[in-house]
Amino acid sequence: MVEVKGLTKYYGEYAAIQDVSFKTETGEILGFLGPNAAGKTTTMRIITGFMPPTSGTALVSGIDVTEDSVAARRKLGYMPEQVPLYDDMTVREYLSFCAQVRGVPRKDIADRVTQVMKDVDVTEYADTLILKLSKGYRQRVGIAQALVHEPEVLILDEPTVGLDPRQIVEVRQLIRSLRGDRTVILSTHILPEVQMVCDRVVIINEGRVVAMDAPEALMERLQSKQQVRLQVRGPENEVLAALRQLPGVTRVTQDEGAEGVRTFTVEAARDRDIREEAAALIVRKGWGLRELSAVAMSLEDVYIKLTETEPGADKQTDRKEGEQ
Amino acid sequence: MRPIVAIAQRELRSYFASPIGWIVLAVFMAFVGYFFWAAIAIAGIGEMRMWFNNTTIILIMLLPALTMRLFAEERQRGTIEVLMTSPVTDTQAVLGKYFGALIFYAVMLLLTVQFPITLTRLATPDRGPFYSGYLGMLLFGGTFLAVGVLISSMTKSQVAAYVGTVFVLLFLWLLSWVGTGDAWWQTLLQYISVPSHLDNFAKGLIDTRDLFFYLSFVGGMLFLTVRAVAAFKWR
Repeated sequence: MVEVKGLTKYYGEYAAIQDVSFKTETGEILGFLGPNAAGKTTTMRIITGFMPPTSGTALVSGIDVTEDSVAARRKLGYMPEQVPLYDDMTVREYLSFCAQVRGVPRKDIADRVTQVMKDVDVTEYADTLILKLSKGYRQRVGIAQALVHEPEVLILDEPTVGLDPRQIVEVRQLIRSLRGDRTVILSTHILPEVQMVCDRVVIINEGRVVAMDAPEALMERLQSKQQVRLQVRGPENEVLAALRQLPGVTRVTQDEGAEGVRTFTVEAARDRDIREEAAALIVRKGWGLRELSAVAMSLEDVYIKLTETEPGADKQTDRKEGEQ
Repeated sequence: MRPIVAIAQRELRSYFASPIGWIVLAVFMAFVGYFFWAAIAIAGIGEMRMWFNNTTIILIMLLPALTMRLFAEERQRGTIEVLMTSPVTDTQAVLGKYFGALIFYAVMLLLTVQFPITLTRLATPDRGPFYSGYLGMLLFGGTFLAVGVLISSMTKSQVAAYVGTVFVLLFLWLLSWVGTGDAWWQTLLQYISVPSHLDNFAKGLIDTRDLFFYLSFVGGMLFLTVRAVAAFKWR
């Protein structure tokens, strides 16, 4: 369980985060979503006890990180952005070192390391120098490092950055497999990732929390109308006019398409599903219906909406996040 | 205590796993071997005192190469974040790294024990100064390493850490020249210059004032390092 209360951090005059509060339930995966330099890394560094906040507190499993940082750190595992690892050690040596530093009893270290290597599937590289691992395997070792002492809270900063598409899928699967009795917080600026991996999402922009909910609920909340996309073979203007006549339709737009086949986007009020009526209409007129699909508002739209409405009065986006 | 041991072990292993440790070791052995040979063959002096004093010069160049990476490299690569978010206090991290470097330096010194052994084979020198001299060398190098750890914690650049440390060590060394004389300020400079305390040990004299100087110097440097670590984490 992680509870963050009114966290504020100033770097000189510049407020990296202001009054950030949220709480996670045990066993859930919380996505921490925001554009670059929104304050994600700063928040994570405070929760992990790496840096003190200017004001506010964070509790990890009920322990205040500003009061007893070392005790709180015992409860958590952290993988920083870019996955820094000691390149001159082998995977086994590195994980053993981490286990030792995190206070795993000496007699359990070998077993824990073997187990965690199995969990993240790096056993075949156990005695390879970390320097020689591919990016995807580095990422796995980074997660293994954060898990080796069986922490209650796992914090991952941008866990899929810089991976190829197949590796991204694998790492996401790995993260999903970790949920259960531990809490996972992961930061990302990739929207589909949140939709795929997280149970709940906190959206942060310019250092402030702008929304917090389940991904579906967030979309639901901001979606006031429905959209249906149709691909129709038939006389453009007639189709357009006919679609506009349908009850409840507020707007019809037309995209570029091949000759005779056009894609139309129909917007209508939420209270009735116009898909069946639209299909029936087109068939009745004898035109060809190639495709029909409901367009769900993506998290992307939610995100843009939320981050746009935020006043960007004193923007300092060129300052790199977490600069030391 | 356990994190200190773990960190010291890791640093020590890292010296032997990287070229820098072997280069320092090789250069050190080449120079001190020459100093030993030169003392006997050229100057015809059958004692270690001059060797101890000469060796300090090469340590000014070499010990910063051991300490430059300790914090600077971890900050540059970001591994410091993993280390400092583990349940390790700043003091434990500093001590672990310091002892890692100190043990490597002790290994360097151990490899030179062949020189006094050779001397005892060739002649019957007084052995007392050998023991005290080595103790002095360990303390002396220990102060240099403490300066190095401090400077390494103040920058992300290993090159800057190396150059900065060599400069400070040269300065501390030069103080002992300037401080030759009896005026009060010369006595003061003599006291705060690191090498001036070594000569007593090399002569066979273990003076508590010298011991106190070295230990408090190291303690002060490490204390400042802990503060510097807290400071770079804060930003």
